[in-house]
Amino acid sequence: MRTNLRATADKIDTAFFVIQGREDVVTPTKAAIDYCEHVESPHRYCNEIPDSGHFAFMTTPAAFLSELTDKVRPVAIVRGA
Amino acid sequence: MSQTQKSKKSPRMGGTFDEFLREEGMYEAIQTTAMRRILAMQLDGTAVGKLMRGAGHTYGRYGAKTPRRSLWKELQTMELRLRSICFVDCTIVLGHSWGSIVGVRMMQLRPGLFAAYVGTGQVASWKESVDMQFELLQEKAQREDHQTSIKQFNDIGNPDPTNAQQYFTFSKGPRGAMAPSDQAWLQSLRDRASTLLAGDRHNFQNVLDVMDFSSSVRSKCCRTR
Repeated sequence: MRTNLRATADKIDTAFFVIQGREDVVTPTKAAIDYCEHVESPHRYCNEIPDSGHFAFMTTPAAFLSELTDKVRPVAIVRGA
Repeated sequence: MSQTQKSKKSPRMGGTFDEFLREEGMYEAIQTTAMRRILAMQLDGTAVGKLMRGAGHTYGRYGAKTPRRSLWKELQTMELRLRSICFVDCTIVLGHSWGSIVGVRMMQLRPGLFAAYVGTGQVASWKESVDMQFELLQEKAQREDHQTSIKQFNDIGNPDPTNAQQYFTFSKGPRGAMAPSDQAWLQSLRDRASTLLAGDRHNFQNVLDVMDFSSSVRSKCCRTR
């Protein structure tokens, strides 16, 4: 409950992606994207999915999958997946 | 490398694991078994669920009796599982909501084990999340002139992010403030609750048949050694 990743996890030594529902009020989108843009990483990508909230991967699966296949997968393959 | 270490080198070094399995005549059987187990783990949430507070181990459910777990031990278990069952060199971790804190911590502890981290419903600062939710719900209560809630928010004043009881009290009604897509999805789960609960979560054969989870799909998911 004292979690503050901006202070404790600002450097991540692997590819780092945040794919956030634009209307997320449970884990507010602005805070998530701000944190993502704050992280130092070998590869970083921060994006919002329109018309979705906290459960973007369930409510807008096509858009979420597109992000995974187009953005995450190519980077992960290069890095060994 | 020392002579002793060299002498322990596997005579099969240089070949792939798939080649080894073919030589031993076990390839097809292992592929089928492994794929079923992987899919079962994915569906059952075992691999992920063990790292999730949300998988029946939430504070909201257990309060002060919430089971304590060692992330380090969980990671070691997961690493062994992935390497022995999935045979993948690296893994993409997807962290959702509270699991995004665990996911980020995993990246800090063992970055070399993972090819990428994907956060969604990403937590940044718990205090920030609590403050934003409090503000949003307070505005909603005022907008709807819900006097009981307005009094509750006024009594709290400034939310304390370390006070779990307070948080779970005022955040009981966040669904009404959620994105319409979230609300619709949660409602659809409620509507299908009896069907979902009636399903046999340990028998995946029918799911496998329907999904045609073939090796081509597997090759799209991850490369094998």
